[in-house]
Amino acid sequence: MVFFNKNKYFAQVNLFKYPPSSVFVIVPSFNEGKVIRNTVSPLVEQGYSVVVVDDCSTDDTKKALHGLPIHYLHHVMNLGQGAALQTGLEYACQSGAEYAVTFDADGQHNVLEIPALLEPVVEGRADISMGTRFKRREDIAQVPPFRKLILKGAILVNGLLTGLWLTDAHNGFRAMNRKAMCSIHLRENRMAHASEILSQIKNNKLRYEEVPVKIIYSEYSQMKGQSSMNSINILIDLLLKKIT
Amino acid sequence: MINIKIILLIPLVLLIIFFLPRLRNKTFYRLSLIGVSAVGIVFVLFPGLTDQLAHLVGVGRGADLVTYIFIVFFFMAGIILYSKIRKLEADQTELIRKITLQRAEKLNQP
Repeated sequence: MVFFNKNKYFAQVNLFKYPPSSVFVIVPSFNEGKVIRNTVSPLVEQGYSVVVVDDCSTDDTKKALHGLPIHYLHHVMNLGQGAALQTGLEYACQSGAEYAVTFDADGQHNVLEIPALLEPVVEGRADISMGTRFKRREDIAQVPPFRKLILKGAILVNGLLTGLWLTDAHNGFRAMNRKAMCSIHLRENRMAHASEILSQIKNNKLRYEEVPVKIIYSEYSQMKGQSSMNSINILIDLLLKKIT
Repeated sequence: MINIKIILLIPLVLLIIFFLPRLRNKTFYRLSLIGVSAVGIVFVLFPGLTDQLAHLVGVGRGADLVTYIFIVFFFMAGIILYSKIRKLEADQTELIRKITLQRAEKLNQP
């Protein structure tokens, strides 16, 4: 384990004009005990304020985080990733965070890409920036073919339902300023929140930008991540929401 | 024919006896409960009425009409229950979120 590095901290302050501790990185986690430490440690090293939202994991998630300087939030009942994200956003908002980044617990995002993702937000061009794996050729090549097909379908559904036509759907890597983190209120507890964020961006008139990111398709994240079949469940959730 | 009438009437009467006092402050549900039970009781006592009503709206038999109406009510009840459950889920989420935020721990802060 690498410890908190002061020199690195100051280097970042000068380089990016914001202290990394003002960036709250929200990591919703459900039964990610095996990998959570590998995901969280590099975030801590970079000096970010890490908020782990433990969605009532039944494994040793809390033990795995032992000794790391983090904010630990624990749902007393399993509610779903959308609910965990919302809890993290509210916590960041009330803790006075300058910026919030949402980061998947399974290690599919790259810590070193956070500054690039934050850039449009810090520079004031956008209230929220969203990672996309469909901008750079080398990122597109990484996406497994069947996953690509499902994602393209999701992009189409999101576009039709929300009117926001993005190049990626269900990318959990996002960065936002206070305005966005405090005005987004996710009510979809489960996976349909990824589309719900889009409709809230639209309704709250938030400015957004897409930033190319690399998704690391490890064997673990492939296995733990959503099965493609779950996209059908998400679609049904979205349609039901339109009705009720 | 008396027997089946009694068997059908018992649950309808029980429905009114048990649920009417419980639905305090829910005028809409009370009125619809009274309405549905009353119609049910009338049809059980005078089954001939359903046939007349069926002919009026262009359905062959009274029993068929009752089935169709039942199906519609069934789905309506389903939708109402679904939205109630969603509301409950939302309340539960808010509650758990409040608890979570109150109990937020700052571990090993420097």
